[in-house]
Amino acid sequence: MELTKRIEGTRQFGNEFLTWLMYRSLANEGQIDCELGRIELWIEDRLTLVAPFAGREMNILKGESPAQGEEAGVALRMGKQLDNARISISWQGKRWDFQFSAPSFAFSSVKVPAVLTDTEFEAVVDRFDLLGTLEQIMRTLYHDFLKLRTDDGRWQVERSRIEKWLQQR
Amino acid sequence: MGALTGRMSPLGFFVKGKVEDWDAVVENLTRFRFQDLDPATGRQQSFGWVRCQDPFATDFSKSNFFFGESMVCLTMRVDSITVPASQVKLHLGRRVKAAMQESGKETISKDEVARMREDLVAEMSRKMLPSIKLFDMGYNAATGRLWFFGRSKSAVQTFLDLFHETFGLSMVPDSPYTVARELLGEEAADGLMDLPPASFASEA
Repeated sequence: MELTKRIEGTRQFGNEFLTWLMYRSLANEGQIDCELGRIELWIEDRLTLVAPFAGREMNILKGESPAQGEEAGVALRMGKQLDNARISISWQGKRWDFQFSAPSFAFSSVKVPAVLTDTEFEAVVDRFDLLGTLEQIMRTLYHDFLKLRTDDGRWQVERSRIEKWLQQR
Repeated sequence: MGALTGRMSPLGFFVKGKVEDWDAVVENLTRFRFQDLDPATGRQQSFGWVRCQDPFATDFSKSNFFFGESMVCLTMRVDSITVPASQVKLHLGRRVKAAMQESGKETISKDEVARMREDLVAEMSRKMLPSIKLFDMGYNAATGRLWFFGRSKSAVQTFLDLFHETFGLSMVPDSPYTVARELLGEEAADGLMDLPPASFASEA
């Protein structure tokens, strides 16, 4: 099968991943444990939820912590999933703020931790290193999600937890 | 939003393969370096490589595009001249009218109007300064990770072609599938195609 078809046929895993990430973050006060250690992850002041089918109806939520609001809960219970979100991640004393587009697994508006270097050359190297670190964190989390998602038994348990969490919101 | 300052908006790619001959890359960077638009040619766009910290520098050596041991930073510069269609229309109308008066005819052929338009656009292009767009690129030659700091379809396509011509390598864009393939391997990533979509909706 052509690569393009594989890419287009699996974009929803980005949405599932971001939705799962929000659940993991909110269900555990922003703390997520993974191979890299403990990460603090928050959905910030903007998120978009999309219905996976049926016209891809969309909710764009802005304001203080929209992920924790009732509107997001209702949309999730109706089957919508996260499509795009502004996220902050803190790890090992550093903080990244960025926009994440789930269907394309793309980062934008990335604010990397402040770089303090003596030369412009070092600053360039550091900025790319920090961008790479952010990607490594998100990939590690995506890997954890994929391991769950591709294990039917474990995924059913996780899905039940998410449904229960949604009902209690 | 480029790579060097402020917030970063990268498009991520996985580069397939590795550069075997960096001397050839240096030669290609020189070959595909940015060159100013030449008004005499009538071309309205020019693109090519410049150094990432100086959009007017087009001399390349490994020491000026390698940042650290494996990070290659370069910028694709695209200069364009766009003649506003509304102004072309105004000036062309005047010229067509003048040509009809001079020839004493009431009409003028479509071919003649097209030729006059072409001349007019070339003439106006020569009087305009091109707009300059800069698109940074960071390529980790050790890991194959590449970030391109541009979002428009035309800029991305131009970059993909330019990179391929220069480095002799192609790349695949980030997506849930391609990232999964990097993490799990091709067979497991292909298995995602067979999974039913997850729903977190209440089934009650």
